[in-house]
Formats: sequence, C-alpha cells, structure tokens
Amino acid sequence: MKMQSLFNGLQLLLLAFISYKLITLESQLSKSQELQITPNKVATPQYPSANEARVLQPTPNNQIEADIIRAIVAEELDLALSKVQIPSQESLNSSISNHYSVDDNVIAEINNQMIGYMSDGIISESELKNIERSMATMNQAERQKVIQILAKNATNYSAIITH
Amino acid sequence: MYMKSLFATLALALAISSAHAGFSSDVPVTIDNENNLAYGNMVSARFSDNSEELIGCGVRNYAFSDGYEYSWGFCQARIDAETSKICSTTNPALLDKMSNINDFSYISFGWDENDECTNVGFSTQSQYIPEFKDKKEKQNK
Repeated sequence: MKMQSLFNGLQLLLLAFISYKLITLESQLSKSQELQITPNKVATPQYPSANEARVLQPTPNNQIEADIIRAIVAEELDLALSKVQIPSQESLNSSISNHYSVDDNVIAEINNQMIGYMSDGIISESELKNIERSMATMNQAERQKVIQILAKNATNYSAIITH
Repeated sequence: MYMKSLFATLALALAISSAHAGFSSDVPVTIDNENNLAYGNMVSARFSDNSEELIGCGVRNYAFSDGYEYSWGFCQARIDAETSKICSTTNPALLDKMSNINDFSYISFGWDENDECTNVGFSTQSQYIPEFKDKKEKQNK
C-alpha cells in the first residue's frame, strides 16, 4: 500500500516535470514561430488522443509537436489521478478513533473512579458504561490497560459486575 | 378398569423417572489463586446455600456513531463476600468463546499477572442441568 502511494507520488512528480518542460518548450516554439491561433481554437483545443498522436510521423524538420506531448501528458495525468486512492470517510473516522491517546493521569483518574464505584461491592451497568465511555477515546493498548485495572480492582475490592 | 390401569401405569412411570434422574454433577465455585484458575457449574452456584456464590462471563460492546466499535469481555467468580476473581480481555478468540457460553454450563477461566484472561472453557452437558424436583423439595424444607 505504501509502495503504491510512493509510486503514485513519483508518477505525479514526473508528470509535473514533463508539464514544466512542455511549457518551456512551448514558449521557445512561440518565440521561433509566429503561430496564428484563432480565439475559438484557444477556447476548445482539439488534441489528438495519445494513441493517435503516437502513430503520427515526426515533422520533416524533427520538431516535437506540442499537441502530441499535450495528449500524452493529459492521458498520463488522468491515469495517475485515477490511481490515487482517497480514503473513505468511514475508514478515516476509524483510524482517528483508534489513534487517540491519553496520558497516565487520565488512567489514574479512571482508576480512582472505579474504586469509588466498587465501594458498594458491585459495578452497575451505568458505572460500567461510564468506564467504557472513558475508554472510547483511547487506543487499544490503553483500553487494555484500563480493563486490566478494572479486573484487578474488582478482585481486590471483591466487587462483581452485575450485568 | 381401563382408566385404573392407565393411572397405575402413569404413576409407575413417574415413580421410575423420579428415581432415575440421570447423572448429575455438582461443581461448586472454586478459585485457585496458586494456579490462577477458577471454575464451577453455573447451576451449583445459582442454587448454592451461599447467597454470594456466582460464576459467569460477559462480553461488552461499545459502538460509536461513526461505525467504529470495540469489545471487551470478562469472567468472574465469587465464593463469598471476601473471595472473588475477575479477569478481563480484548482477545477476539476469548471474546468469541465468552459469547458462546450456554445456560447450565460448567465454566473455567484462567488469568495472568495482569488479571487478563488467558483461557476460557465451558462444558454444556446434561449433568449440569439442575434437578428441579430436588430443588423444589429443598425449598419446601
């Protein structure tokens, strides 16, 4: 997955470089040739497809035809953009939820909260829900730590989970 | 005459069935802290004379509005007000096991130094089903 992203990135960089070269080339061409471009043609340029362009014969004076390069660049750019994977909102949320982190003070606070809950010998549904709500913002390792503390406290205080 | 024979047969059948209730196994809750192991039969705990005794497991699931969720589970055993044990886990295999514990099961579970569950076992067999008649007689005494 990472290799694919890297490859896509490199491909985009390469295309950007080609685009830059194309612009440079065009400016050079415009200086050397006095092209008559009508306004209509500027608004809707008709490029040959890359396949068509590739089979075109080089011009007699061996000049690179700008239209061919444009067509190739446009096609490659489309291809590269189609390969870039945009993560879905759901996977984005999942990864966010899974990577929150809390410090030790928060866990110590939850520990104190638990001890308070267990003083009557039971951990009720609503108390458990509060603990679970606190765990919601934690990553997997922290969550595991909290439920270990829960089990240890419950054993030490001879408390049971009622539901 | 026919009715009398029928009643007599039914009475005999009832007498035989109560005399042969099948094999039963009473397994009170035990917490072995040396071997980090607790076990017991749910029915034995439930109908124990000790009102504190219990054994069981549970699975909890917390779901977010965005679709993300997490699960954790626990097993707990208690013999009396001062002697109990709880272990917890997020291990999917153990959670799956905990979710599938049936009624009238024998349960065993183990834990490590962090009180994290290391194993969960259950056995659902006829000998763990309560003897309802005995229980009724017990209650009437």
